[in-house]
Parts: sequence; structure tokens; C-alpha cells
Amino acid sequence: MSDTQTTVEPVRMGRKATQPLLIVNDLVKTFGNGVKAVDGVSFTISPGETVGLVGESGCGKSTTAKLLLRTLDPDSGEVKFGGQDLLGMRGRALRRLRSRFQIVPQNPQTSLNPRLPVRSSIEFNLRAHGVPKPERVERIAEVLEQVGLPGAYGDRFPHELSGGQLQRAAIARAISTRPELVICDEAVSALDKSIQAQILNLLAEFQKELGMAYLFISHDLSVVEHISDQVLVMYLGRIVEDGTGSQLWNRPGHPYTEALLSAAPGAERERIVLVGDPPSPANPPSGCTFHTRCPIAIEACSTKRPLLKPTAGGSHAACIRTTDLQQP
Amino acid sequence: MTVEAQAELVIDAAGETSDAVLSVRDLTTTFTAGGQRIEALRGIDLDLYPGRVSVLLGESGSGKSVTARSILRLYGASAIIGGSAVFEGRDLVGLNEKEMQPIRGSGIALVPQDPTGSLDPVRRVGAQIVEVLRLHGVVDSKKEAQARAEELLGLVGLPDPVRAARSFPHEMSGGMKQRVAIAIAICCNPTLLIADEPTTALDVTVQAQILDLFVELTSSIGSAMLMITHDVGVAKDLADHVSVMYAGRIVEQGATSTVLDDPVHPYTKALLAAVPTPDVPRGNLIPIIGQPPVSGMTLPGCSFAPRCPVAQSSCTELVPELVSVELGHSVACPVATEFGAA
Repeated sequence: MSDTQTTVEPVRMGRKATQPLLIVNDLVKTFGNGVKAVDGVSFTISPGETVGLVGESGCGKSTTAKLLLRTLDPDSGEVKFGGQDLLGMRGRALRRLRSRFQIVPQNPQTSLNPRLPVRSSIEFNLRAHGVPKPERVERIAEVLEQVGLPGAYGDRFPHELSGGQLQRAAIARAISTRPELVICDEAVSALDKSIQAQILNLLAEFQKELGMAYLFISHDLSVVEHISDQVLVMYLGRIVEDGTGSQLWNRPGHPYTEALLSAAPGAERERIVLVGDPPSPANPPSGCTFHTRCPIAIEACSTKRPLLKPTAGGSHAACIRTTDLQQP
Repeated sequence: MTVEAQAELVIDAAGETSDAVLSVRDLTTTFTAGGQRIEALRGIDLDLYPGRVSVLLGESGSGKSVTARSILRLYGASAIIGGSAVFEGRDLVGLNEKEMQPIRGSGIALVPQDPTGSLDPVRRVGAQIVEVLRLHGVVDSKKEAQARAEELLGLVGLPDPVRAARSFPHEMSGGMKQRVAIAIAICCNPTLLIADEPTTALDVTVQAQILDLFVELTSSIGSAMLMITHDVGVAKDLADHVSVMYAGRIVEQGATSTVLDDPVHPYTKALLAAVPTPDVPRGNLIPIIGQPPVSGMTLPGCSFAPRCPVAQSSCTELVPELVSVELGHSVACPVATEFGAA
């Protein structure tokens, strides 16, 4: 769905809109040191949909999130949120729009102010978005209950809460402005598996109740596959495959996706061990950036950048050798 | 020989002769912080055998790393250690710092979690390996040490060992640094290799490379290996033997295939069920309710009882002992063993 040739699937959750909530088109970001962090990324998110973004460190997942939040400005590209051009906005208009998209960061220990009780951190967010005082108090009590924290926990400081409770507080802060899109940047990666399952269930429950859309960023393919309607696989700043979780799981169309699935510990697949480390994004390989580590690369792979094309498994993959992938 | 039979042999021989490289019995570690006693380990039994990988599996705060550090006696005076840990005929718990020092590195080596923090940032990695070799007197000359360092860097799979030896840690990727840390750990041919979450800081494709390297090394150098991890997948892929830890105790122990494919303890079952798999629909994961116990808080009876789906009133009274349910498979849960595997 990120490719121009494909049509956008209409919405699942009960909103009237059939327009995508977020449209990202050919986003590019190169840092001053020559690192091409995001290199032509396009995708859409419909209201109430979860899009997973998976990849290894340095692939540009978090930079993509920062570009969408406008904490970084892209070199080129287009981002439309609810029909409005996000990149052209500044000042008050941007602030007003921001209440509609929120972030749950990776590490709640460092994202919640250690010197403020949790309640004040949530209130700060509400005040920034112009919610009047009486309503703020009400809203805080409501979101704390929604995330399953006893009301009294609002008066606690971050160091008095466990990792799972802190992540609940961070989620409470994010949903307090009633956003339409929540960006979860490795939101469950720091948590133990038993707590991770609690938080994943909570996120799924909110989506059902409040109809929020998620951009769920993680390096953990099993988590992304579990929570997402649509999964984007990123490698060196580019999306190399785009499909539903089960499409990727059952029949990956890109050799990198296949390697990623097989490398996950405990995966009951034939292990494909990639050679070496991912190349530096400051000096990415020519053509398909994966060709240096790809087990089925041919000469043509090093010359031409492949575009996302439909595959036999139903996904879209940027690979000219996709038909030669060994399939179960 | 099965694990249990081997373990019994160890007990029979009372530590004099046994196949086990390390026999840990009733190991306890207690810290005192601000006048409060924190019982981090409450009686660990563990046997490690040459050429075999044993995994300590548990969540944060369960005492996995404390077990490794207690065996290596890295806590000094800050912890009170009880029980015994017999390594090559000597009880490590009774040794003083001077007696312990030669064992660390040459007898028991540690691969740390974060290679960036464990390597000296201002020295070339070759020199860091040479230092360890010279310290333990494994080599006669500096030249020999240099050659051996390069050989080791090749052995752990670095493509250009000569160049790698001349590199500084910051010039290497996370995976390469972890390979260097492994080279340092194996440089004195330790009889026991302890790896504390050695792949947690690495990307999944690099993690696969490093795990393969561990498997290769343990079989080629024949040392025993204790791998600490929170990742059920890593345990499945790597371990011959698994010990599941919760709140400072081992709750289930046995061959990997029995423990992870056919778990008996309710905590092991819950831990396996909490991992997302393609078959579980969204929102339907089975989490473990509540929070793990706060370290230092000693609950009467079974520590898992407050979160346990099958807990009975008796569970909060008596501390459950590890009981054998089948050959080489022990479980510390009277409720599960009575109804599950009787």
C-alpha cells in the first residue's frame, strides 16, 4: 500500500472516513555527517489501523518517527495528517495538530520527568494542548483508570513505579489528549515478557475502544507481527517489504525479511545467517542496499534500486529476485 | 548418562570426584542495604558439565546475574554468600580474594552483556587480549602473546584479525566488539564459560551469528557453559539444560526439551504463554497478572503464589522444594506436581 501502484485499503474501525489518516510520501532525511537515515519512505495509515515498522538498529525507524512528529525536519517528501500538510505547518497550528498524534517512547524512566509526580506529567501534556483545568483533573483520573493504574499512583514519582507501571503511565499521558494516532517507539522492548504481554493487550484494547491508529516501531518481529495489520520492513533507510503480518510470516517476499524471521531465536525455520554487519548508512551500497549481505544477489542487484512490487505471497517487496526465494 | 544420574553421582562422591566442572549447592546471596536485608539468592543448586550448555532463564530481578557474579565472587564484602560452589575440587565460597584471582579468567571466564562497557575504550583490542594472556602466564613472550591474540580474533570470526588487533573498540560494531569480548574470555582456555545475556545488546541478525559462534566454541574447546538469558528463544536454540529462575530460586530445572516443550511449573507455563506467536490473535496474549516481587521483600511460602493461577492457601505457608517429576526434570511446585505429573 505504500507503493503508487497499489490502492489503499479502506478502514477497519468504525470511523466514517475512508481517507487515510496519515499519508507519507517519499520522505528523505540525510544528516549533516552524510548519513542517509531515511531514503524515500512512503506509507499510509488508516484510522484505527496498526502499522508496524520493523528493522535493526540504524535502519531509520526512529528517524522516521521523529520526522512524523516534526522533531526533525526532512530534506524532502510529503506528510499529510488528516488531510493537512504537516510539513508546511508551524507555530500554533502545528501545536494544535500535535494533540491528535502522540508518542509512547521506548524508555519511560527517562521520558517522564523524575521530579514530577506522574499526574503532573500527564497534566503538562493536557495543558499544552489547552484543556481547561477542571477537565484536566477529570481526564487524568479517567486515563489512569483506563491504563489500569490505581488513582493514587498519580501522586507517585517515576522512581516509585516499576517498569511496567511506568509504561502504563506513559501510555496514559499519550492517550490523555484523545489522539487519533499514537506512535509507539519500541514501547515494549525494555519490558519483561510477562509485563510486555500486559501492555500489548492494553494497546489492543484501547484500539478497539477508542479507535486509535498506531505506528508500532520495534526490532522484534514477533511483537510487530502480533499487533499489526500491516508490517513495513526497513533496511538502511528504505522499506524493503510491505505486507500483512501473516503474508510476511507465511511467505516473505524479500530475502532480508526471510533472514530476519529465521534469525529470531527459537524460530522454527531454517536459519539463514547473514554475513557481517549492516553497512554504514553514511555510505550505503549501490543499487539494492541489501545486495552485499544477500544470499541470492546477482550482478544486476548492485546497479539498480528495486521498487516495491507485488509478490507471490501477497505482499510488496523491493527485490528483483523475489521469485527465486526458497519457499516452504 | 542423564543429568539426574550425573547429579546424583556428584552428591555421592561428595565433591571429591565427579564429572561436573562446577557443582553449586544451596547457594545463597544476601545484600544489606540501608539496614535492610535483601535475599537475592535463596538456595540455588546447579551442575555444569564439560561441552554442555546450561541456561539460566528468568526475568529481570530473578537473580540470574547474581548467581553468575556470586560464583565468580565479584561482590566482595558487599554480599554474604552461603552454601557451596565446588569448582575443580575447591569450594569457591570459602576462598579469599587472592586465591580467587587466578581462577577468574583462566578457570572461569565471563562474557559480559555489554561489550562497549567492558572493553577499555583507549586501548587497541589486541593489547587487551595480550594483557590477559600475560597476566595468567599462558604465553612466554610478548611476541607469542601478540600472535596468539591474532589467532584468537580469527577464531571468533573477525575477517581481518591482524587489522582487528590494531583497532580501537570505537572503530568496531557491536557484533565485532562482542566477538572480541568472547576472544578475551576464551583466551586462557577456561573450563567454564559464563555468558551473561551476551546477545541482548545486539541486532537479531548479528545475534544469530554470535549464538552460532557459542555453539561452535563450546563443542570445539569442550568447556562447560552457563548462559544467562531472559529470552525463551535463545534458551530453546542453545541449551542442553535449562533452569528457570523466579525471585531468587530455581522453580524448574531439566533438559531443554522437557522444560520448554512440556513445562510443569505454573510460572514456566505462564512465561512461555506470554510470548507473542503468529497463532495468538491480537489482544489475546495471556499475561502474568501483577508484578514480580520487589527485591528484598521476602514472601512466606512460594514467591510466585500471588500471581499464580493455580495457587492454593497452602502455597503461602511452605517454601516449595525442587522435586523430581521424571528423570532429570525437577519442579518446585507441590500443586502442579501432585495433579500434573503424579
